[in-house]
Amino acid sequence: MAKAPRPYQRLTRSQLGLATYSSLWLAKDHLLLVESSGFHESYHRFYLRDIKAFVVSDSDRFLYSNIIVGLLVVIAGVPVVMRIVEEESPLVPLFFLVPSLIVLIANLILGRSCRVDIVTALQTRRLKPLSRRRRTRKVLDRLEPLVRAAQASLAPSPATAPPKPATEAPPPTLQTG
Amino acid sequence: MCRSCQTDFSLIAFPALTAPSRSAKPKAVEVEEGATCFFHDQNSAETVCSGCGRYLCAVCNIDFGGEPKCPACVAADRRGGSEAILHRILYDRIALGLAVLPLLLWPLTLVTAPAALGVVAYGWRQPASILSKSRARFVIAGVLASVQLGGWVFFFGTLWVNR
Repeated sequence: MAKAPRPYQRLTRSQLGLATYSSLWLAKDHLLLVESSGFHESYHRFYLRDIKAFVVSDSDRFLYSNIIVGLLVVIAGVPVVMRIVEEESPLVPLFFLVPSLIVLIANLILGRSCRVDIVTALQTRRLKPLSRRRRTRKVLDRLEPLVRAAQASLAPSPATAPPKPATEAPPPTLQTG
Repeated sequence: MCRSCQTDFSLIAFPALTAPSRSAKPKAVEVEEGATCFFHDQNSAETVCSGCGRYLCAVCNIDFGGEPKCPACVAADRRGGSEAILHRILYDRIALGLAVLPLLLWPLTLVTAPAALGVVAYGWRQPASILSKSRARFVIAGVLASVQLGGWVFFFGTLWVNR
């Protein structure tokens, strides 16, 4: 018997929060934000036809986490250097240096951080799983055509759109990057 | 840039941002024999509920997963279907947690192993996460808890024989 197609496709991996983690999934007609404590899951749905906008803003988390982990690397690295200078085995201080170095490299590879809010008619909600610029761009590039297709009937056609008054200020430039 | 907090941001806007809000406007019954809404006999029926077949006016017609549904069927879906589920308890993870975590303080397994088996028995029939229907965690938890219980039976059996 053929396997039934999965109703949800994963958009992001779980993003760890304070005692919770959250992830973002895509269904046929809606986005699903899953927040989990490990033993309990809460589901928040955003129907594509209801999404008014995504607001993407910069976050300082990347900078501060790099500073904190960088300090840890320095603190853990000094004993390693001292051990090497003293021609002793640096194995014990390396035990502390390597994990912090891995975290620092992983943070650098994941790239700049950001905040993404989804706006609907009734709510504005932070999408915690979209916390990195690169991942956010990929997800939004995938979502944008789907949302536009779901709202095709709402888009005003050029023939029916009311003429703009001559004194009206130009609309703000939309950035997607 | 936000004029209030001076924060740079990008806006990806969709047609719904500027579209006028949709509001349901029911039509009054025009002729006495006209079909009326099941819930509002003053309103003309405009569609049929895909769940129960009741006639619905524009107020009662809820677009639910692309199908017209009445409020009663939407409430029923909340209990049974996956479209309107708001949360789920993950019994498989509770069982696995009860089977694995107490191994750090192994005497606790005397209590937690039967508890894990109880959660496996109860949770097996409960609805799983809407994202994954796998029962693998139940199986692993059940096997681990059974082994722990077997160990305790062996331990107490040996004590009883050697008393």
